Parts: sequence; C-alpha cells; structure tokens
Amino acid sequence: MTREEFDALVTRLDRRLGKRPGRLKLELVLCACLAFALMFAWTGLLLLIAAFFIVVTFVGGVKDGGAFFLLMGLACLFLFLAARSLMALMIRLEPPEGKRVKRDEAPELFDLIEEVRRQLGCRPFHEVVLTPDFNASACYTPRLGFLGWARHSLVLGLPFLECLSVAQVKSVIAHEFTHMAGGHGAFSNWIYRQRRIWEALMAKFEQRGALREGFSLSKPFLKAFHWFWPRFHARAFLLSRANEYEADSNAAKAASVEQAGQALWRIGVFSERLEEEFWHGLWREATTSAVPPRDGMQRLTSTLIGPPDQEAAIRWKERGCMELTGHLDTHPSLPDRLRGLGLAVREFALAPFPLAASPAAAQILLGASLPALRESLQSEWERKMLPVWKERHAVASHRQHQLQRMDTHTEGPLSTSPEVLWERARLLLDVDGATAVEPLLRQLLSLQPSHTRAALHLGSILLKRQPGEGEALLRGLLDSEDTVSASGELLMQHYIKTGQDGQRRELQARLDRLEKLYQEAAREESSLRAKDEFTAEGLADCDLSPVITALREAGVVQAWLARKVIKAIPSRRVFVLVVTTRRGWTDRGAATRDDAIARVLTRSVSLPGRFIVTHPASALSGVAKAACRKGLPLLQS
Amino acid sequence: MPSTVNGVGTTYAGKKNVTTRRTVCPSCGREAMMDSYDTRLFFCFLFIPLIPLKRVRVLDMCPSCHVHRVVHPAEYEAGRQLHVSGAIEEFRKQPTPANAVKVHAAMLAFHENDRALEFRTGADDVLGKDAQSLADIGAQLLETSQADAAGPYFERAHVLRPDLPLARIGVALRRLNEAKLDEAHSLLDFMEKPGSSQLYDLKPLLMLAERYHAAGKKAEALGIYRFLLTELPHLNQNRHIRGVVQQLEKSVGDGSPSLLTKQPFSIRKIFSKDPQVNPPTVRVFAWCGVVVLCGAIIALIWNENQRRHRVLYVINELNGIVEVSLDGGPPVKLAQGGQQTIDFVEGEHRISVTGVAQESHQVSLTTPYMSRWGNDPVWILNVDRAAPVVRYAMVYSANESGKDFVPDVDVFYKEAVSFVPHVDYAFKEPPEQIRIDSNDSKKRIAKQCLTVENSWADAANFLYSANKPEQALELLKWCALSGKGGGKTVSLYVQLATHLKKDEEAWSALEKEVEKTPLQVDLHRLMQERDSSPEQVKKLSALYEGVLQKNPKDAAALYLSGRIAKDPKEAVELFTKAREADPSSPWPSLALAYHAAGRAEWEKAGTLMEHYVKQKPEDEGGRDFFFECNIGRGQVDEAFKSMNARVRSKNIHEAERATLNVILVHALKKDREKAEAAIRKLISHGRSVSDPQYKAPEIVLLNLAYSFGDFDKLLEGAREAGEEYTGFEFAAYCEKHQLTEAIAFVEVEKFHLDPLTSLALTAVADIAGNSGESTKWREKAITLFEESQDKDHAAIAALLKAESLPSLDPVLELSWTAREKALLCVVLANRHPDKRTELLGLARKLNVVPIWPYHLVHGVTGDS
Repeated sequence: MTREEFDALVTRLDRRLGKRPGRLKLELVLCACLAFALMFAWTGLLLLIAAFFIVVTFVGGVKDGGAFFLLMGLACLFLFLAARSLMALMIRLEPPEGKRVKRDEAPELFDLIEEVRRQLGCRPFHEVVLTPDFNASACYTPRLGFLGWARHSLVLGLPFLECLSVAQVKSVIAHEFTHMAGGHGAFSNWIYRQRRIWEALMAKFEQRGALREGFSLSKPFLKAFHWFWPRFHARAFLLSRANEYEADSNAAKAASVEQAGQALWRIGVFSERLEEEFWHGLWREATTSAVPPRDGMQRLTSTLIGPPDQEAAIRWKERGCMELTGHLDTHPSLPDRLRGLGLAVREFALAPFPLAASPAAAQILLGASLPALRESLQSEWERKMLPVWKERHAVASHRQHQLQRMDTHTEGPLSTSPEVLWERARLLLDVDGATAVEPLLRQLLSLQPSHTRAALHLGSILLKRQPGEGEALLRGLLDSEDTVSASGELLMQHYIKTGQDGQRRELQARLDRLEKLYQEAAREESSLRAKDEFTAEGLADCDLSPVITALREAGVVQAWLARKVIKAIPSRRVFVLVVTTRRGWTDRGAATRDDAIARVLTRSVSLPGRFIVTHPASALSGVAKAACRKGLPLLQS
Repeated sequence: MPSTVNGVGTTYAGKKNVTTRRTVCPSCGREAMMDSYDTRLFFCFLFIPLIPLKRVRVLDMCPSCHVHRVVHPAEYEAGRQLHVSGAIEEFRKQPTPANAVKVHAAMLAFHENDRALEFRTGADDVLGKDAQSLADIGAQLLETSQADAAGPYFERAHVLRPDLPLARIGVALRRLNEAKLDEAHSLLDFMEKPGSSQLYDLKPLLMLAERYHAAGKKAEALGIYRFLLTELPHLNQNRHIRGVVQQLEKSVGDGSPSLLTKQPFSIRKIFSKDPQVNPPTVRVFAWCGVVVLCGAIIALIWNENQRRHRVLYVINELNGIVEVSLDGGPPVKLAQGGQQTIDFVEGEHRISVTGVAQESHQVSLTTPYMSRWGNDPVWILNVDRAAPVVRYAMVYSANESGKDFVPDVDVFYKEAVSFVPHVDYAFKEPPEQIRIDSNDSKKRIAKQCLTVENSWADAANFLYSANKPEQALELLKWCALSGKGGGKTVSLYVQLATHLKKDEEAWSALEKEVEKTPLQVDLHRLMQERDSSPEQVKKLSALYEGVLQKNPKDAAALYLSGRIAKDPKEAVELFTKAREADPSSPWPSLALAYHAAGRAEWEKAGTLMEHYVKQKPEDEGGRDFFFECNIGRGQVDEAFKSMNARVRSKNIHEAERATLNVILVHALKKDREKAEAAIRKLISHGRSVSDPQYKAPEIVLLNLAYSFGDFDKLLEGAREAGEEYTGFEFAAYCEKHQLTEAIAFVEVEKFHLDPLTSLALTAVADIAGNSGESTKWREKAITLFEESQDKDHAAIAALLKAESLPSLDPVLELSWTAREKALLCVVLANRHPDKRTELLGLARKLNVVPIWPYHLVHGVTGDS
C-alpha cells in the first residue's frame, strides 16, 4: 500500500469511525483477535495433536508399555514443537527503568497524584518511577505475557518536573491516568506486541520465500499480511489519536484548559530547544570526552532556564505551531492537540518563548528529597548514556585519527579531488557535526554537481537553517532513482514539521508515483520473457554499423535487433540481439556455434542500453523468437 | 530441493558451467566454497535418474547443508546479461571509477571472472588514480576467493593513499600470507584503537593474532587477543579463543587478571548450533539428554499410571450370587462361575463380600516402585477360596526345543486375596502361536498364565506333574480338611500320601478332622470305607448320635448314620430323614438312588440321581450312574443327549467316558456303525484338543467289542492290550462259556480272584452244567464274601449258603450295584429253582447296561 493509499484509508476511516470510538475499538479488537488467532493457530494445532495423543493414552486405557511410550513420546514431541512456536510469539516487555519513589520520599507528589485520581475516579498506579528523561508516560508491564495481569507505572521525568509548574504537572498526570484507566497502555502494548511478532514472522517467511522456488506457504501468507497490516495499523493509529484527545480532555478537566495547554506547549517547544541547544552540544562533547558529563541532567534543566536566542526561539515556536500530524505517528501534532482543547494556536505563537517554571514542580512536589533524587537520577542517566556515548566517542576518535592521517597523505592536488573531499566530509560529520561539513560539501558540489550523496547531506543540513535552499537541493534529487527515497523522506519530515500540508500531499503523491515507477522499471529491466512487448521503433535512427560489423566479423549469418518496451519509463532501453549461423534445417551444429558466438558478441558488441545477445536455440528461445518477429533484421542471408 | 525416499524421488544429474565462490550459507551459517551450475532435475527410481523434469541453474549449493537457490537457466542468463550490460552502459555514459567498480562487481556477481579481469585491465586508466576504487576492486576479488589477483590492487591503493583503511587491510592480509606478521601488524594499527569494532570488522586482527600464536610470538598474540576480548566481548563465548587465551595467559601472562570472564551457565548456549560456542558433540549430548529426560518423565508417568490402574480379578465358584465391593464402592455382582474385574489404585483397601459368602478383607494392594516398570501384576479375590486358581508358566519355541520344559505351577488357595507378581495371560487362553523375532531357533519365550482349573484334583495333579509333589500333597490336605473338591480330593490325598509314604501322617490328620463339626461327608465316607470294623462303626455311630442329639435334623449325621446302619430298612429311613432335613444335600439322594436301583426301581433312582447330579456335577461316577438309571428307566435318548455334549469336552478324559457311554447306547440299539463313528469322532476330537497322535484308548475299544458281543475280538484285544486289561480276557472266556480256560486263567495266570469273579465262574459252570465246579466256585465266593467283613458281603454269603430262599427281599435289600446283583440273581436262580423265575426276572431288570457281565446274565435271563 502506498503512502497516498494509506492516507486515503486513514481519512476514510476517520470519516466513518472518527465519531464512533466504540465501533472503532470493536473493529480493532476484531482485527487483533483475527491476528492473534492466525498467530496462535499453528501452536493451537500442535497442542491439539499433543492433547489427542494424551487423551488416547489415558482415556483409551493403553496398557501396553510400548504403545504407551510411543504415544507419550509423540505427545512430548508435539508439546515441544508447540512450546517452541509459542516461545517465538513471546515478546518480553521490560518494566520502566528509573528510581521507584515511595510516598515518604515525596508526599506532596503522591498527594497530587491521589488528588488527580480522586478527581478522575480511577484506580491508582502500582508505582511511581522517576527517570532522567524529559518525558512522562503511563507504563504497562504485563506479568504474564500476552495473558496480561499488568503492573501500571506512572513514569515522570525529573527534567520534566523541573521545568513545569505544579498545575502543568497535574494536567500531565491526569493525562497519564486517562491512558492507564482507559486501558490505552494495555492496548497499545498489545498492538506493539503484535507488530513485533508479525515482523518476526514476516522476516522468517520472507527468508523462506526467497530460498524456495515455485509455490510456498509463505507467499500467500505474505500477501495476506500485506493486505491486512495497513488496515489494522490505520485503525490502531486512529484509536491512538482518539486516546490522546481523550487524555488531553481529562487533563484539562483536572487542571484547567489553560494549564493543560501550557503544559503541552511547553513540552513541545522545550523538546525543540533541547534538541538544538542541548543534545547537539552534548554529543559534540563525545568527540573529546570518553564518559558522559557528570552534570548532564543539570545542564539539561539549565538550558531551559536561560533565555533563548531570538531567531532560534521564533523557529522553535513556528515548528510548534505549524507541525502536522503524520500518519505514522500515534500522537497528534501539538497544534492539533491545542485545537482539540479549544485553544488558539496563534496566541501561543505570539506569546514570548516560555522558560522553565519558577517555582518548578520538582521543588514543591519532591521537596527535601530533590537533591538526593537528582543525584540518583544523574547516575542513572550516566549509566544509560554510557554505551551510546562510548560508541560515539570511539567513532569520533577513529574518524579524527583518520582525518589526521588523511591530511598527511592527501596533500597537494589530491586534497581537492571529489573523492577525498567526500571522504573528508563524511569523517568530519562524525567529528564536528553538520556546521563544519557544510563548506566541504559545497566545495565538492561545485566540483562535481552530480554528486548526489553530497547534495543529500547538504540538503538535510540546510533544511533546518535555510529551508529554501535545502528544499531546492533535495527536490532536485527526487529525479534520481538512488536518492528519491532518502531525499523524499527528509522533505516529508520537513513539510510535516513546518505545517506545509499542501506541499506534503504533493510530495507524497509524487513519491508514491516515482517509487512505483522505479520499482516497475527495475522489474521490467531486469527480466526478459517471450510475452514481453518488443519493437523495432527508433532502431533505424541509431548508428548500428559497428554492431553489424561485429556481427559480420563473428560470422553471423542472420541477426535481428529488437527493443523491449519498458512501460514504466519508456526512455529506458533494453535490447535483444538475436544471432544465428544456421544455414538451413540440415545444419545440426548451429546451436553450439551460435552459443559460442553469442558469448563472444556479449563482450564485443556495444548498444546504448542494457542488452542481451541470444540465439533461437538458446534457453531464451521464446524471447529470441519474439524478437525476431518484431525486431529489425540486421543481417539477412 | 530434490529428495528421495528409499531411492524414489527427484535428483539432479549433470553439471555444466560450474562456478565457485566462497560465501556464508544463509541456512546453516557456515562459510564455505559454494558451487553454482546448470543441471537437470530428474525423477529417479532406485537413485537412477529416469525422467527429466526441467533444466535449472543451481546457485550457491552449500557443501554442508546442501541448501541452495534454484533459478530457471533462461532467467539467469537474461538477468546476467542485462545486469552486466546495464552496468557497462552506465560506465560508458559516465566513466567514473565508482561506475567501473560497479561493472566489476556485476561481473563477479555472475561469476564472470575472466571477463572481470579483462574489464579491470581495460579500465585501469580510470581506476588507477583512485585509491578507494582500487581497494574496492581488491575487496571484490578477495570476496570471490581471488586473493592473488586482489593483492596488487590493494598495494596500488595503499601506495596512493597509505591512510585508506580498506587498502591497509588488504595489504595486511597479503603480508599475513607472506608471513610478514610485524608488517601486517603495523598496517592494522588503526584497528587497535578503542571502539574500532564500531567501524571495522576486526577479523583481520583476529587472523593476525592466530598467526602470531602459530608463529610462537605469544606476547604479541596475547596482546591482540586481549584487545579483541575488550572490544568484542562476545568472543568470550568462543571456546577456541578461550582455549588459546588461557594457554597464552599461562605461558606469557604478566600475572594480571585474566580478561576471560566466567561464562554464566546458559541452556541456550548448550543447544547453540554455533561450533565456536560449543563442540557439536555437546549439542548432540544435550539433545540426547532431552530425549532421555523425556523418556524418564514418560517412564515416571507410566509408573504412576500403572499404580493408578490396577485390576482386581474377582472369582466366584460358589453355588450362588455374591456381591463384592471395594472400599464401599459400587458392588460387583457375580453368579456362580462368574469372573469380573475391579479397577483400583494401589494402597490399603477394604474388600467386602456379601451374598452366599460373607467376607471382609483389609488388604494392602501395593507393589514395589521399581517392579511396576517390568511386571504386570494381578490381584485375585477368590471368594471363599472356592476356585482352584492356578498360575503356570508356559513356553513358546520355534521348534520342539520347548518339549522338555517343566512348567512352574502355583496354586493359590492359602489366602482369599492373592497377589501374582507378573501375569501375561490372566484368565484367558494364551495364543496358539506368537511371533519370535530372533534367528535363534532354540530361543524359548516363557509366559505366565493364570487360569481356574476344573477341580481341585486337577489343580493338585497339575502341581504333581510339575514335580511339586509336596505342594500337591499340601494342597490336597488343605482340600480334604476344608471340604474342597469332595471325596475325590480326600481319596487323592490319601493316595498321594501313600505314594509319598506319608499315609500315616495323612490318616492321623484326617482322623483329627473326623470329630469336627459340621461333619464332612466325603471324609466320613472315606473313613467308613477304610475301616468297617465294628469298633470303628461303633465309634462313628456314637459320634453321629452325639451330633444328632445336638441337632436331630443334621442331614450329614443322618446320612452317615444310614451308611453304617445294620438294618437296611433303618438305613433307608435315615436316608429319607436326611433328605428331608436338607433337600439340597446330594448324599441322601445318592444313597436312596442306589437303594432303588438295587431293587430295579429305575424310575425312582433316575429321579433321585437327577437331583444328585445337579448338586454334584463334578462327580463322574454319579454321572455314570445317572446314565445307567436313564437306560434302566428306558430313557435311552435322554441318556444319549446328556452324553452328546460331553463328547466334545476339552477334558479328553471326560470325552472318553462320554464316548464310552454313547457306544453303550448304540450297542443297546445294535447300531455298530454309529458306535464306530463315535470312536472316530473321539479320535478326531482328541487330536484337536490333546495330542495330534491321539488314538482311541483300549478301554473304549474293548468295551465296544464287549457291548456288541464280539468276544473273539474282545479276547484278542485284551491279550494285545496287556496286563492292565486282563479282566476283559477273563470276561471273554466267561462269555464264550470256556470254563476250563476261565478257571485256568484264574488259577494259572493268577488273575485276581474276587467274590464277583467267583460268582461269574459259578454262573459259567452252571451254564456248562458242571455242578462240581459250580459248587467249588460258589463256596470260594462265600469264603471271599465272609472274609471281607462287610455287612452286605456277609449277607450275600448267607444268601449263597442258604438252602432255601423264602422271598426275594434279602436280595432286594442288599446294598450292591445292579449289575453285580444281577449276576448274583443268576447264581441264586440255579441254586433255588423254585424262585428261578422271580430271580431271573429281577436279574433281567437289573441288567440294563451292556458292560460286563451283561451278556453272561443276559444269556441266562433272555429278553423276557
């Protein structure tokens, strides 16, 4: 299913089921049940066979020892197979990592949670977990796998609590309570689990399908999956969106519409600011330092306390106000959610860029425990960061080392060759980041404007700072088969972030068309069948004299040239050159001769496109005959 | 993938355009040289390709697991040409080094190595200045196992760009092959930086470490291994590397802690297919362990299943219905001869029996844990221990090697609930044949069987024939003392005890039992017959009187008193009373029937015997007498029918007796053909149930000859039959009225002379008109009768001595068999001519069955 078709499906479903969440849920549950039934059918069948043997053994009163062992052995075998297939379906969901907070550590926080719980009439969370992330969530951890019996955790990021006010945190907690009470977490976990299982099964079936010729069970399975999954996913996506709106509405009820809106707005723009100001700088440190900084979390909070650069602030606000809801996101975009609360997005855009709340909720809700919790979560943050940090540091160190060597060995004209420039740019990207690479990429493109990979990188760097230029650069790459997907995806994300819905739609339609076209063209170009369409059109205009000379030199008696019509991209050319040395039907050795000549001609002949050289008695005799019928006779006896 | 089953299926035949490359198998994960070739798929029979199915191109046939891909040769050819020509066209349009590399890659991908050589030589002016492309070409050649061709490209790339990692790797690999390890080490230095595994495949470094190790440069090897273990912790699981590092640390280690971490136990690791994690044998053993574990679990389940599904066989041989319940559960009803099973779980149980027998047993029905795997035990509840349950072992053998097998036999009679540790065939006929899967023709397979014998006597006989005379004696003693099996077991007990020279012990045991009440009729009958002295009679009379004083209606005491009563009328009176006291008791009926038969009152005798036979069907003598009664009362057909069923009895002895009676019926009807047919049937039946060589017994043949009056044949047959049948020889002489031969036979041949023989000789002498011999043998008979000390014999002696016979009453009152009484009447008829008519008339009535001395009597009495 193409993106456009998926969009159309989502729109259609939204129109039909948007106002009927019950029906949507029912359809989704039915779809999920069907999916589960399909997944467990094999296991169930194996279990049934095992049960049959056990029943025969015990109910049938088997007295003979040999028969008993045989039947029970078979039962064991099928139980083992069933267990194996069941294990393949098991996906373990890890509980959230972080600091489990007790009531005596943060009584005010628990009072606030209890207040929200009473307001919404929900059951309580099993635990409250503080994490070093700038995020909040309701976590669902099933104790019995797909059978459920979950543990619900309220996960609150400490940086999050240090930047929002108590009222805003209250709205966030109400939001998460709604997810927990409405079973949203369970359901989304269910969907997540299904997706993982299906993906694993798909990979297995695709591998099998690739290894087998002809009919295999995996082919209909894959076909069914490709039909089923987008439909299931579209419904799940709609439901997730509806869940978010419901949670936002409850958040507004618990705090107030304004506070809920403020919370959403702050989370949205703070994330943008952190991405550009904090994370970017932090990762650059990995080039020089082997371990993450000891004050990482503190720096995260400090970033949001200070006033931002005005130009950047406008950019972040614009993004926050204009972002579109992508069809692959489970959360609606920030403007949509604000509109859902009945707030005017424009007012947020016109207001000054928000700073971290003072007093912050963390100071009030965590009170005296805050320093200890900060310390503990800083350690947790470092522990989580360390593997990624080490990886980045190692890569950067190596790249730096390589750059130094490169500087030594590529002095002189070699230093400005496109290959060296490109390699240097790639290495620098890992060491100094996008800003340092930009001049190199520009230099490279001035030397070799067709360097698509350089253009792609430069385009992606420019999209954030000079969107017009970046967009133009990336749009130029859409015509290249190699870069259409990558550049299209970058542009798509850019249009979603900047709220350019019209452009997004246009690009989406174009990408769908191009991808289909390229796929189809690649398929047509890489195969030849007798039923393909061949033509002699346009061949007369080509200079075929070198070909004819080569044919004569090789001793070919008769030759035809045909062009396969590539329907997807007619400008692409695939030729079929049919040669033969046969002199009448009594010439028995012609096939062997033709085979040898065809092999020689494959190397010596040159045609303006892909081509094959064959003869009427070869394995491609059908193609050869079709080409002879429709093609241009080059040599005639 | 082609496959065959027992040589039938599909296979590839022929190989053309073979190309080879080294790659990793996507199925088994092994790196190997894989072949690609054009071939043809055939249908094969006995591995011989017969029918060509299609042409295929096999791609990358893995030498280990044989998994491969298959394409149509035409499609492959088209794909090859299109792909390569497409790349060439691209290169033609833009002759960049990158495009040259693509063309080269396309050619190598389709195994066109010579064309690739041609191309890269031709494109050297394009490639020659670009280090990266040269290195890429080298890498492509290296991947397709063309290391020699790859080397120069790496060298050139390295000259142009000494910093280029790929070129350094390629050159380093070349140096490794040239054994220039230190040079290779310096080229790979960039890999020995922390975090290098994020960017490079560290395989060349591993190769370098291995080469250092092989070259004996242990310190260098250990240094590289340590770096690799830090960078790639998963190498800790590689058993080969672990072994090498351990060895190196031991020999050149500086004492610093080992980098090898202790591997945590992991079940997944045990079953890992990766040969670097586990030797393949570990995996094989692990799977064997799983199979053994499953087997053990099944064995445990089997054991528990056996424990929970035990069977109690309940056998009722009592004359009536019993109900048996286990632990108060639903009762199981059994009629006489009934046999049922009750399922139970091993443990302590209470078995209750109600009905004709009242029993309760608290028993532990358990088996040892280990025995449940090998044995198939059986528990038997033998109600009132009435059934002779026998366990015997039997063997099956391919030839006659089992003939010498002496069966091991046990009879279960000591306890009501018996346990048999192992039984193959419980209360069912074992099969005639079983299959023995062995080449050893002498192999014997023993099976344990359980059965209920027809009688206790048979059970004892079984024990005796199994060389267990002591156990047989013990069983018979138990039977005799507990009244099982009737008089037969008592007399067998005495016989066996005498045989084993334990008669005194036996008699003393029996005598102790005599005084016990309730009186055992069989035992008392034996005791009365053993010693009929006045002292014994007096002693027994006192005993019976004592019993009758306590219970005047004690049928046994009344009956037994009648047997020793001096006056026949008193005896009859006592028998009648006994019958009235206990109508179910067979003994008074038998006594009264004998009395009636002695008076030729066959109708009455027949009715009484009918009752007796019903009560004591196992008494063969009783059945024969009933047969005689039936003939006496003219119910020949009835008698014939009753015998007909028994002719087919599986007990060949019973069948012989029945056949003999059938012959007698046919003799009466003078139908010799049917009589001979009956013998033929007996032979055929005997061969089917007993012995394939079975012959009709002499007794039957001799009786046939006698009953049809063929005395010459009888004489001849008796002479041939031997000493055991001398009685028939004597009978033949008598019937032929050859007095001299008969007397000579007695006097010269020392034929046992008894009162009946003397009477027979008297009768023959009378017929021959030899009064001297007649008187002599009559007096001899009188002497013998008087010597016997029997009261009836004394009465007969008196009759024979008497000069006159006022009435037939003394004759009628005699307690003697009808046949013998008939002979007596014939003798008396000659002595008392005045009563001759009455006596002969009585003799005619008494002489009904054509067995000795039927014809002698009949010859005198005539038909009317």
